[in-house]
Amino acid sequence: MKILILVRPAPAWDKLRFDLGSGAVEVPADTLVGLSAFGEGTWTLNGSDRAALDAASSVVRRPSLAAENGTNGGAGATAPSEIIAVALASAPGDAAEAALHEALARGAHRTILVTGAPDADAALTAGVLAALVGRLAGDGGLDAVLLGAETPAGAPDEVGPMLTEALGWAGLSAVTALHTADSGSGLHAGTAAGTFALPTPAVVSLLPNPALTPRYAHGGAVIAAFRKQPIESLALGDLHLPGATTARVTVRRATLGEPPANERLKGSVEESVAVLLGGLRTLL
Amino acid sequence: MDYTLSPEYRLLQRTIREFIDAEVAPIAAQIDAEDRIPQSLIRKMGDAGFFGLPFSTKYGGGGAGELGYCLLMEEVSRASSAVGVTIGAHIGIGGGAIYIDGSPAQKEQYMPALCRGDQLAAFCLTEPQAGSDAANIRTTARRDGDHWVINGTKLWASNGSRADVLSVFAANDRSMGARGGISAFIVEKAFGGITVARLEEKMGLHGSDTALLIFDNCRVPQENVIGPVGAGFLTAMKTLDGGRLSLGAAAIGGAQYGLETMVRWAQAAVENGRPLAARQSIQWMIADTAMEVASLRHMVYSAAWMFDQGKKVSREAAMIKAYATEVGARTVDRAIQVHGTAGLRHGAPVERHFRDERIARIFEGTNEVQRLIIAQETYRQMGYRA
Repeated sequence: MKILILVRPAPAWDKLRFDLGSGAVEVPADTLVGLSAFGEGTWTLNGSDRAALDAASSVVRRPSLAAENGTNGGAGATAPSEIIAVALASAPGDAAEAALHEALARGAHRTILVTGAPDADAALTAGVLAALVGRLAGDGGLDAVLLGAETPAGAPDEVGPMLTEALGWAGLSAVTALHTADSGSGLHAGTAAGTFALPTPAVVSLLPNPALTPRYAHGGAVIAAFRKQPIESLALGDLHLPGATTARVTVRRATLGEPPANERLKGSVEESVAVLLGGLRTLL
Repeated sequence: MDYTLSPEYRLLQRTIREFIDAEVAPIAAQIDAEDRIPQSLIRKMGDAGFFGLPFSTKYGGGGAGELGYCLLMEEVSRASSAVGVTIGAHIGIGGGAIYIDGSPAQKEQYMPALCRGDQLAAFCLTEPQAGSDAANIRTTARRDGDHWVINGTKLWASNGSRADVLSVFAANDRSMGARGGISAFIVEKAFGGITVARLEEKMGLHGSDTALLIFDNCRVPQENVIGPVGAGFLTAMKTLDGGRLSLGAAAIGGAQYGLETMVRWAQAAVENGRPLAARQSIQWMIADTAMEVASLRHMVYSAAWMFDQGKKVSREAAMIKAYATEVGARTVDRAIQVHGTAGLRHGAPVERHFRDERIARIFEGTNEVQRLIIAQETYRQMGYRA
C-alpha cells in the first residue's frame, strides 16, 4: 500500500488568545512563562491531516491480504508499503517544514516540500497533488491520497473533492475510520453514514475520530525525523502544472444591502421558486 | 548564543506534553489516592519511547540526550511527580549507571529492554547507615569463583519492588574506602536472594514505589560488575550528576504547575468585589515565582546542554538540585497561600504537589550535601584547597 498524504501546518489555537477589542493575538501567560526562553510552540499539524496520517499508518501497519501475498492493493505490484507526506510552502523552512517533520515522526516514510506556491488555494493544492500523483506513478503508482477533511481554519476542505475530480479516482469525504478490505483489494471507509467499500486508487478525506485510541509519536522517532530523514524539495515549476491550475481563483465578494423582510412564500412550489429566484436576482 | 530550543526539541516537547495532558494528568489524583501507577500507563509510556529517550539509538534509545530527558521530566512532573520519579529512577540512575559506565556487552544485553520499558530499573545505593554519605555503605560483595555474593540492606530504592534490573553498590573491600573499595553491579531480580522487605508509606509521591530491599547471598556473575572492580563510587557520583539535572527539571515542572495554578486562581477568585489578581500582595508572590522559575529553567537547560557536550557538571548539578527543589517547594507553598483554605483540602491538586515536593530536598543527596559540594567546587575553582 502506497499512500500520499497532504499535511498542512495550523496555528495551535489552544495556545493563542484573541483580544477582540484590539484585534491582537496574544500568547497566554502559561506559554510565555513555560516556553518563552525555549520555543514558541504556536504551530502544530492540522488536526484532520493528522487523522489522515494516523489512518495511513494504521492501514500500512495492517497490510492487506493481497499485499501479504505480493500484490499491492490489487494493482499487481510488489512495492513495499510507503507513506509519502507532502506540504506546500512558499520557501523551505518554517511551518510547512515543521509539519513534514511531524509527519515523519508520526509514521511517514518520505517527505516532499513543494516550494514556490505562496498562499496556495484549494485549486492549486489539488493541482499540485494531482501532478505529484502522476510524477510518482513511475515509482509503482499510488493506492490512495489521504488528507484532512477540514482546513487548518476548521472549514470544510475542498481539496479532496477537487483532487478526486482531477484524477478521476474513487473518493470519499468525512471518513473517520479506514481499513484495508479483507479481500485485499480496496479500502473500507467508516463515516457517520455507515461503512463504504472503496476501490483503489482512491482519494479519502478524513476527520479526527475521538473514539479511536490516540496515537503519539515515539520520542525517538521525533529526534530521528530531524537527524536521519532528509526532506525532498520540489519547486512548483518542476511539476509543469497546466495554466488553468496555477491561475488564481478569483473570489467575487457581494455585500448585501438592507436584508429583505422575512416572508413566508405562499402558493404552489413553482410560484414560490419563481419568487425566490426573483429575490436572488435582485441581490446579484 | 541561542537560548531557543531547536525545532526537534520543540516538537519533542509538544509531543510529550500532548501525551502527558491526555494520559497522565487526568489520572494523577487517582495515582495519588490509590498509591499505584497503572501498568497500562507504564506500557503506554514505553510505547511512546519515554523510558529510553536520552540513550543512544545504538542501544534502542531515542537519542535525545540529557536535554530531551530534562524536557520529559519537566512535562511529566508538571502533572504527576510520582510518575516523574518512576521515570527518573529508571532512566537517570537505575539505567543511567549501566549506560554511563557499563561495557558495550552489558549495554547490548540490558539497555534495549530498559529503553522499551519492558523492564524497569532501580538504583540501590542508600542504606540505614549511609544516606547521602555514599562512601559509608555496609552492603558487602564477596568474590566466590566467577560470581560475587552480595549481602546487605538497601533503603529508599525508587522502583525497588517493581524493577527487574537493579544497579547495586556494595563494598568489595571496606578497608579501601570509597576510592577502590566500592563496586557497582547489574543485578537481575531473577538472580534470587533479593527480598522486598517493606514498601515505604510516604507523605507524598504516592504511586512511586519506594522499597526496602534485603540482599541475602544474592549471586551475581562476574561479568555483571559495572566498570572496574572498586570503581563503583565514581560510577555512583557520575550517575547522580545526571540524575540531579533531571531532578531539577522535574522541579521546574512542579514549580510551573504552581505558578500556573496560582495565576488561574488569582484571576478567578473574587474577594470583596475585586479579583485576587489585582492585589499587590498576590502580584508579588506571582512575580517572585515567575522570576525563580525563569532563572531555574535557564540553569537546568544550560547544564543539560553542557552534559550533552561531555562537560563535567558536578557543581552545576549540585546547584540545580539544591536550588530547584527549594524553588519547587516555595512555589507550591505560595500557591497554597494564594488559594487560601481551598488549597489545604486533601485531594486538591495543589495539596498533592505540596506533599510531593517535600522529599526532593532530601533524596538523591540532601540539599545540605549539595551545598558542601558547591562550596568545595567553588574553593577549587578559585585555587584554594577544598
